Amino acid sequence: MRIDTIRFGPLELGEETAIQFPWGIPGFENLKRYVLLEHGNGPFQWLQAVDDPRVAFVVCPPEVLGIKYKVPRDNIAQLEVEHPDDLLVLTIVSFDREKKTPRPHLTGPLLFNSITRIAAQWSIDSRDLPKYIESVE
Amino acid sequence: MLVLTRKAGESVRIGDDVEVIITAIEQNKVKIGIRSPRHIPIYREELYQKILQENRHAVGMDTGDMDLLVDLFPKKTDAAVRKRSSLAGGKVPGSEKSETAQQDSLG
Repeated sequence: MRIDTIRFGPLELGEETAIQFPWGIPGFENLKRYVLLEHGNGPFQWLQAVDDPRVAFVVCPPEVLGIKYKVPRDNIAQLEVEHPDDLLVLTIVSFDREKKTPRPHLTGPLLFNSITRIAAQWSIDSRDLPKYIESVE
Repeated sequence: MLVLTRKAGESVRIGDDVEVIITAIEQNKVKIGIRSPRHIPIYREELYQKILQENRHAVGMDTGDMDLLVDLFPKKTDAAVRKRSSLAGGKVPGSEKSETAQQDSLG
């Protein structure tokens, strides 16, 4: 499938590489298909919308930011994850241009079933964050 | 806006597949239950607005921001990153080249 992007030009990727977001991502509900693109060998990737050249998020494993999520059973059930190892969590990151610091979007991690390639954004009330996040070394 | 009066235990049906049930009424709080198909996401409004703003902010990232971001982090290929790679559909064209160039200038 051909994917037009404003950042990377046109891409040609197999249909099987698409990741489905059946519930969409708040703010971009009409976009249901994304692809994950490696950026060099670094810890970050782009989650590029297949059907909108402008929409792409920078993501990384939460461990890169020194944290880990405790994902509630309901969220795992929503994605029909059978084995805990099949669940993948990625955090959206942006960059604070003034402070020149990373800005992790901790309250909206993305959850993936790596077997079915179905994903959803988990929105967490910031007051509940301590309950769901633990730090890793 | 349609406004309906309901008592605790009563419900409202929206379309043929969504049911909103008033489960309890306290002094200044109403507890509601929602029965709906799985494909309809449900959020508390203020949480939805918050996450929507965060997401809109996040898509403002361009490749320049990414380069600055990458420089702030040590290169890691730990287990989490490798596992994540299995979902990746491809690589950003040229993103590897710029890294090689960086390494060259360091070495």
